[in-house]
Amino acid sequence: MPVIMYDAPGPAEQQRIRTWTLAVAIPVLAILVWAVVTLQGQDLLSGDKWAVLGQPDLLLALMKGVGATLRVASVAVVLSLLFGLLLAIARMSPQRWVSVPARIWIEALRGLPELLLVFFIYLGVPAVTGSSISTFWALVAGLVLYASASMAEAFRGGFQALPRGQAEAASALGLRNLKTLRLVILPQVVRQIFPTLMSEMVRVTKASSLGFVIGYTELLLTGEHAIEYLGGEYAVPIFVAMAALYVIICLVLTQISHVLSARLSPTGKQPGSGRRTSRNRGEQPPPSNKNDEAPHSGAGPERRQQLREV
Amino acid sequence: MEHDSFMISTRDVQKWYGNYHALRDINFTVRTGEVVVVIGPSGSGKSTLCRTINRLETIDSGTIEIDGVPLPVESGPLAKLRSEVGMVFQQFNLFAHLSVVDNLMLAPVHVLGKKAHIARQRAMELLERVGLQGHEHKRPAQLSGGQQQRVAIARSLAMDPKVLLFDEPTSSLDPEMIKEVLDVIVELTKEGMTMVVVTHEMGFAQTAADRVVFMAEGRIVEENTPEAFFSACETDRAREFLSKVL
Repeated sequence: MPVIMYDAPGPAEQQRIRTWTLAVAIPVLAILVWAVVTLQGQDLLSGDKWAVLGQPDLLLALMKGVGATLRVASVAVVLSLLFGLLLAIARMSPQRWVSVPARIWIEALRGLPELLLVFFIYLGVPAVTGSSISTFWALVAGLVLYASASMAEAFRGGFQALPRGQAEAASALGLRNLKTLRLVILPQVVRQIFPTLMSEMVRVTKASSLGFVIGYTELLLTGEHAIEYLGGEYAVPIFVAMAALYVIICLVLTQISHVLSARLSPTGKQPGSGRRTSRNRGEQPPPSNKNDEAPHSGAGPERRQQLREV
Repeated sequence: MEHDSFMISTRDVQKWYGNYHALRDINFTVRTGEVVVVIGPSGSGKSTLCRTINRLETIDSGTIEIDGVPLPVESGPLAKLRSEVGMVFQQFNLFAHLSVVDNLMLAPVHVLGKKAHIARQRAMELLERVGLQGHEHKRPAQLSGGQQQRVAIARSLAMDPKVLLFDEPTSSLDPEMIKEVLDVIVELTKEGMTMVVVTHEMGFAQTAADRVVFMAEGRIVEENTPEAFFSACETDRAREFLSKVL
């Protein structure tokens, strides 16, 4: 599959590419070497420092941190999806007294830093109601306030991108509004905006590290406590371990999203692999064409054209 | 005019889009079992008329009755009525996320409350009837335009409608696929299905219609049997139109 934006380079261009490769690679290598030497000089890279990662207590604590991060993230993601959908529907309401407040709410919350929202809930709720709020729910609420507004916009984009005929066909068959939404519109909208929703979920997961500032013991704060307990000289290995854990969590989420979005593609096929799902087994193989390799190739006119010619 | 067994009857229907008078004084009737083909130039209001019959478009004044009952305005009764009036669209509008058989089963199961295995059996019969047996597990995107439109017709038939509305069913098809769709529609006319077909296919109008309705500028200009209309139409407007399309 040809890469968009890049033509095959000619000889002069190849020379230019080599020159620039060296021009970038040499300084980058130099910085890396300098960093390693500096850390080495302060004895931060020696084996006994890294051996701390083998300590069962530390590993257990970090795993607990991962668990706390995942708990907060999963509750926040589910609630954000729910409220995001409701906000999007309110925002598209033909009733102005519903759509205008929804729009103001969405715009205002998307413009606020999450940190502020988390603080606001954690300190504001006790001030107003007189009863304190747990760090878990303060963090969840702060994350949901922001993420639901941003998911609402994703949902709205998906609703608007869906051809009008889908809802019309459903109405013409006698389906009422809620069933049309549930059976025809939402499944297609979710497919359409799936990559956006997935990256928002990854973002929420990382943003759960804001629990740090209100004392919710998630992964980041766990690591911080461990460093305080064990000593600053273990900071580098522990931070690297935490970073690795965050990356692993997000990679797993991304991987799940790839598998799911392949399942959800309009032809029910795995993108790129040309493999057929069990539902298609025994049928004629679907035509393989370049478009099939694009992960989210829809049933656009070009595609239909190609299928006709088969 | 006799008043018994009109499947569709409209009286003095007016429809405006802003300042644009889309439907003017429409008095349109379809008897039970009758096949009425609506023709006319683009923008003549024929699609709009078709879409007002199941209230996908609202009207500004006049009345529309289906099977002797005024078109409901509340969503519950309206949904019930729509479940009895089949509609086939120019753009097919198959549910893109569902397989062919699921497209045919959705409304019977979720509107009529049929059991899944009964709806599936009926869906398979209908697919065979439109010549698409063996395609039941494909997604719409894997079918040609002609195949998609035949699935759409089968999807309407799955609801056992008492009348079928076709809104330019072949207008977005490649020429070589028009026939396979028209053949299915002609088959239905032979079975006595009550139908309104908005189309640009004059050959179809000549052979399959019981009556031809010619519209221009939002009015019904002329209506007659296909033989009379195509051999000796009465108005200049119709003559001008036919001279361009025949």
